[in-house]
Amino acid sequence: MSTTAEHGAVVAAAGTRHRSWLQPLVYIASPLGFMVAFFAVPLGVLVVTAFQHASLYSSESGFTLDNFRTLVTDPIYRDVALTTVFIATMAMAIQLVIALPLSYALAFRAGRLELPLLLALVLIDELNPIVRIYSYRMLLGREGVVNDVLLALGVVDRPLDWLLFSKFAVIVVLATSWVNYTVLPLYASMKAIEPVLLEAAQDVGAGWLWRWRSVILPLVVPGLLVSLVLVYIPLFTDFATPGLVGGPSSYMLGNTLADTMLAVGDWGLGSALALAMLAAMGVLSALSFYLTRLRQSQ
Amino acid sequence: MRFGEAQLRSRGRGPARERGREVTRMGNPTREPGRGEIVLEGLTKRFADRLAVDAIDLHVAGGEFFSLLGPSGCGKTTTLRMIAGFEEPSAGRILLDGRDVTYVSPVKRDVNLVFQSYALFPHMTAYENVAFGLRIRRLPRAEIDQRVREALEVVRMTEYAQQRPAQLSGGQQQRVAVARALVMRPAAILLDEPLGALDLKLRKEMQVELRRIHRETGMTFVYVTHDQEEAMTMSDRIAVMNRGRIEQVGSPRDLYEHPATPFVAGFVGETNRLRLRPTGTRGTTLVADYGDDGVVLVAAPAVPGANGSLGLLVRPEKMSVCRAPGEADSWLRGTIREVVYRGELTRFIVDVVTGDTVVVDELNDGCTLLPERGGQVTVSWPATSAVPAEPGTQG
Amino acid sequence: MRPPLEDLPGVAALPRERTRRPLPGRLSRAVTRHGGVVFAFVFVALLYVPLLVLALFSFNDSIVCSFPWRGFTLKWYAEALGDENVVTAIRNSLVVAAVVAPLSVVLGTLAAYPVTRFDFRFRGLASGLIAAPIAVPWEITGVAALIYFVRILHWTPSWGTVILAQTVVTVPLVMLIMAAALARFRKELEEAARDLGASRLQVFRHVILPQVAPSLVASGLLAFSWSFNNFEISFFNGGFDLLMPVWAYSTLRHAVNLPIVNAVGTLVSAAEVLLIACAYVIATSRSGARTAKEKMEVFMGEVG
Repeated sequence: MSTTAEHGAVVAAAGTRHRSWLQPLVYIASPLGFMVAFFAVPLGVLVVTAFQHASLYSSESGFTLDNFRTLVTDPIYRDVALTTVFIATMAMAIQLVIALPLSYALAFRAGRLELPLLLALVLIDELNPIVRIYSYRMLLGREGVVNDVLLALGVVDRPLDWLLFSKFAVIVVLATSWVNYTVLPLYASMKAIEPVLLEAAQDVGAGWLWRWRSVILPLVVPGLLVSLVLVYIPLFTDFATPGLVGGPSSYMLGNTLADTMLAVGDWGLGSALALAMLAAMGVLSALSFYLTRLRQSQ
Repeated sequence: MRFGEAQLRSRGRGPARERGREVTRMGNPTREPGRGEIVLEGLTKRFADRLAVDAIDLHVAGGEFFSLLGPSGCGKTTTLRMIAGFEEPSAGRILLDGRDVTYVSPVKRDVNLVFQSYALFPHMTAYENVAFGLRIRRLPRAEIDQRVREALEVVRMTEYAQQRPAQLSGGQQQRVAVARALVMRPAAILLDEPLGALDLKLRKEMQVELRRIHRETGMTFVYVTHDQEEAMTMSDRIAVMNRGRIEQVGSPRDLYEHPATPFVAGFVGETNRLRLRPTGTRGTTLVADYGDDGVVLVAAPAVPGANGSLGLLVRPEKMSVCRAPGEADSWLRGTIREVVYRGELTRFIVDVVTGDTVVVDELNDGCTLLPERGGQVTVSWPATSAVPAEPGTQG
Repeated sequence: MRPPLEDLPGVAALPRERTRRPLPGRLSRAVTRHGGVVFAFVFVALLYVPLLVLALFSFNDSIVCSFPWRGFTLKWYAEALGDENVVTAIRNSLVVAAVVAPLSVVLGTLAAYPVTRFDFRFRGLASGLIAAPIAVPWEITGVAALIYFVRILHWTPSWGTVILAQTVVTVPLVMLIMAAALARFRKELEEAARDLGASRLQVFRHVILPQVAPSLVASGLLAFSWSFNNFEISFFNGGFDLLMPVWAYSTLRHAVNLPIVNAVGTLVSAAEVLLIACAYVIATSRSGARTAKEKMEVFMGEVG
């Protein structure tokens, strides 16, 4: 893309050299201005508010670290953070376990079903997330379909309580809601492997385990790591899922933030929390960026 | 680097020699002569829309350089892949050293394939690519190292051991692919048009190299190609395939001198094609009489086509423009269109009375007087040297 | 006619039988060959099962969204469409999406064009800033916007603030898609037009636009559906104006299951499926079958 841009610079320069910086500015001014006004500045406001005592109803200016002090000292935040880490990590692990065989099957073994299955996967992401999360209530509830089936088959004699409004439900729903973020990039990297390489491995005696260990994984793992790091961000910050199918034991940081902002109304504290979450997610973004650069340099 | 017995003894392989077995094979004292025998029996492969291989029977002797030769789509690659285990036969059997391996997974078969696109693992160095199969067999590291180095030496890629495939040229990648197969010491090495992607000069070099490697290792080579010159240069024996069937199996000389079918005659080596109008018979011989302009005898049994014409195939070196035709010869008058001097022989391009243009190769010491361009000549050839072009009653 | 098999000792003695792969081998081969697809198919089907169950219960004549089946009814749909909150929420969401989509397409394309066509000093910085919202979780963007609107601008949160906050997130998505489309676009066509005397604007309108139109439409549809579906930002910035996902969330917080939500959910999902199906059909019929892959790339551009 840089050659295109260089070419564009040549084209632009050929005409009006001294105006070469003005032209792009004309185009980019409005989107840039919009982003500054409604994204950069609000983030700045967020940062400032985190260091203030502020609420929905009033605010005082004046620098304070009270908000952060609360975050660090009040054990509730630590507990919720741990729960969030646990749930997000479990969801990510489940996605990993599903994504590997799924992408392999789609890339190498699906034949005519490849395109329809891919389309089905992409389609489901376009449907309303609240509806999708809610639909799990009908499956996992005490009177839900899963319990009905289990009772009918005689596997249990009482409906299982822990399927819904629990950590289990949140993990399952998170894993399936965001699964595309892991599967699709992994599928793409598997497609990039020529099938003849797998034949060559078979030819010298590599069974399926060797083929996975020595051919497939080395070629897909770098991209997979980036995807896993990136998917962690929505898994971590999602609050609709725990809000709808979670219970008190699966209260996550996202819920805390929503409550702090809207129910409690302590905007200073909320901003501090948001900032802390942002910082944590920022570390992950930077990590993924770094991993990508590492890949490219190989 | 040759694996002479002195070298082998210095590597501690002496005892093998005392056992009285051949040892000039990659230092492997246990390879018995005759190992690497492949038998195909009624091998058939049917795809959804076509019959790719039609019940072929074949026997490849151990240690042979055997080629499958034919045009695209004739089934040679499919046959090779069935031997390697990547295609499952629709019917028939494959026997490797007497064992039925028809349904054995390629992972377990004692053959190795050199792929047309090399298929080197991009994330491994040349060394690691070659060592891969040995690692799977869990050989001790020292042995792996020794065997890999040997293999890389045989293909002359020792300095490139630490390079990745992306850093190697096509010819170099090809060699590494060959080494990867060689190092496994299989009963047979299968090569699927390995030189197709190389330029001419490199191809010629690699042909010589492969032949040398074959000699040094003594393994059975099964080689697939569509280039008849390549097959003729390298092979001990060739199977010419067409449309899923074997037309003829034989040494290069057999195929060239005694083509069994018109297809083989036309495919192997250069051939002239004449269109004749038979005018009668002389006993069992068909005759095309052109009066003062020539007489063509068709020695082999042949049936003219529906419109009464008959095609005839004759090799350029069987024809002559200098000899006087005898009783058993066919001859036609013609005008020389072009004369090409080629060192040991002269090539004449002659327009003959049948309307065809033929190529005549004449050894330079065969003619007392060389005709020139525009000259009128008599092209003659022994009647037995010609083969009918139409599918006849030949077996 | 075949040439005879060469007469070598031992060969003639071999029986010429037709063999088939032995049974255990056949079974394991079938599993290896088809196991993966079966798994993939089952998994994808399972992804849809909750939605199908949702739809099923929207027709169930029972206040409890579970078995047993008490009879087919459309009353939940009638109730949904008669509920003022529902209608308002859906309408608001549609309006918001209808504004966010074109707005973000315009802004996103305006950003993509110079980034792919010029090399100016602040290119990296500018495109980085415009793409930055992708890295920020939506909830946090929503919270920051809320604080900003209320404390700094003293606006009341309403559908207006939602539009602004949502556009912040959709513009980078559009920009990425359009940047890819513009980068793929053959520069020679542009240069030829300029050589013939067209101004940059004319080049854009008459040469570039028609070529990248499919990507424009795709990104517009993407922005539209994203906006309609969005929860996190609407939750914080909607104020008292209802938006469909927020309505659903609030309703469900206070009740276990409500068939009216099933009905609304089914309607909305069906509409979205139809929308995507139409988009797919249009995109693939236009440029031939190959575009199926291209459309996949567009969708996947959204992901990665």
